[in-house]
Amino acid sequence: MLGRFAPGVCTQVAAVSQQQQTRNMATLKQISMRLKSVKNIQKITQSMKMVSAAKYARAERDLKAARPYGEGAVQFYEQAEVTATEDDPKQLYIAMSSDRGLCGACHTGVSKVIRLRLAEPGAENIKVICVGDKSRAILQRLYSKHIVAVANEIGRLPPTFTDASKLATAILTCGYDFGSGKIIYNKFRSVVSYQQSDMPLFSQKAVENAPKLTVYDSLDSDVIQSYMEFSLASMLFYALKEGACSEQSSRMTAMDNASKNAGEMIEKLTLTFNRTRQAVITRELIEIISGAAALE
Amino acid sequence: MSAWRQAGLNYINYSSVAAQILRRSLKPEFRADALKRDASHVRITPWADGKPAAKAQQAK
Amino acid sequence: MALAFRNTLRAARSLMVRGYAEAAPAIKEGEMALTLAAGNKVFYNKVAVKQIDVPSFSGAFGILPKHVPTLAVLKPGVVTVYESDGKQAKIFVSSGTITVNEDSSVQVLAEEAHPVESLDRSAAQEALSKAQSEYNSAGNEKAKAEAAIAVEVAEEIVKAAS
Repeated sequence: MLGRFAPGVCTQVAAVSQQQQTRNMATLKQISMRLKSVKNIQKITQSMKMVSAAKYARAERDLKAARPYGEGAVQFYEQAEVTATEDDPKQLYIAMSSDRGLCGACHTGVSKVIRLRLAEPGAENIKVICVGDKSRAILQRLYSKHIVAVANEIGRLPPTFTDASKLATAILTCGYDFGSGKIIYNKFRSVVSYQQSDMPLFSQKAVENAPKLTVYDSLDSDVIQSYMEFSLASMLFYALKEGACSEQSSRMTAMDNASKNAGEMIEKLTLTFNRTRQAVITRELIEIISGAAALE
Repeated sequence: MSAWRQAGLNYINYSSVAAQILRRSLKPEFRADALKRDASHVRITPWADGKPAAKAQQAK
Repeated sequence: MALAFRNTLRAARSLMVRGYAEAAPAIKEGEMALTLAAGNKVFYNKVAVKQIDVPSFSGAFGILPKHVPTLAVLKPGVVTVYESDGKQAKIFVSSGTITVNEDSSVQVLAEEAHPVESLDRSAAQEALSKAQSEYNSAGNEKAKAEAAIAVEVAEEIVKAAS
């Protein structure tokens, strides 16, 4: 019985040692390949960081100029105490994101606000306009029926007022007659932080019914209509600027972290690589020495 | 009612035409920089029933 | 920069006189806070001024402090700002909105605005003649309306750039 087993065991052992040897050799090569690819990734993330740092500097400068603009656009709605008309449940949400990823959680944050709202009761009256492919990609899986329009080609270049005008025209002509709504965007706070914020949208009826509108002088519906059209464009312009700035800053942070992580990985891999190489050398030496000793 | 609104334009359209002309009428040293703001690349696709309703239109 | 400096100076002075901390950009009697911003530049950000003349669709009008709250839509033309030290600034605006709030603060938001000194008369004339020929050759009503707007704006610019 023992005799029957013995050869089998023997071959198995031989196979294992052979396999180990080949695997060891391969590991060394694999590690070096891995090391190379991680180094390349680090190069890429580093240069992406540099690019977004430059874009961020510009976006921040632009944003500084757009801030008074946005504040001015919203102020009237606050001062006149415009509130949404209750008998009109139709709402429009505008998700301000962009086409480009690799920037932390800034698109997910915006989409999440809308997703949570859509999960609440009464969501059947809510329509969504996705600005940027990223929010579309996130929202279309579960809530594609709510999307009325998608805008893309956002985020490659700094946003202009012309972009905002186009968006505003599209919103006004999308055929959805909303009673109120919200623009959800990332508000830039500092290089390392941004926050999801919203700006209110109202229908002309809501504005005309605002309690404090009577203190405003010489208004006719034509003026209000033009005023609201323009203020929609300027709010979108402001939201685009805020979003662009938050996105670039968070991409900068994300890429910085990625480069750091890649650096750590490179360190570890180099260590393993050297250790493995040393082990292979040692083992080969042992083989040679023991072979020589056996010959004596 | 103004003539442009009767023709189907809104104030946003009015404003972009006006801004375009203003940018073109600047002194050359400011013009080049201002004309960059003319550009817009946004494409808008209307959606219906969970699908893009029509081919992406390059709004003017 | 100079403006900001002046503001701090004034704030400091009013602090000294009154002896207690007031809101930072102190607005004196007979002045109001103006925000004049455009898509391309911020001209005034809550700066105290004496008077503002604006062109609007319901006619050009001047805004003095304690003006009754109102909304208006800008017509292409020159906005004149009378600063608190008596200086006048003339800024050409393309279009936008004017808001006079209850607290007498004024916001003028334009899509595009430039000081009249930056306007080029010959370029404006060129734009005008181009717009006129477009108006004459416009095929549909929409294009005609657009060209009419262009003519109107260009005429205003030529007038302002003299």
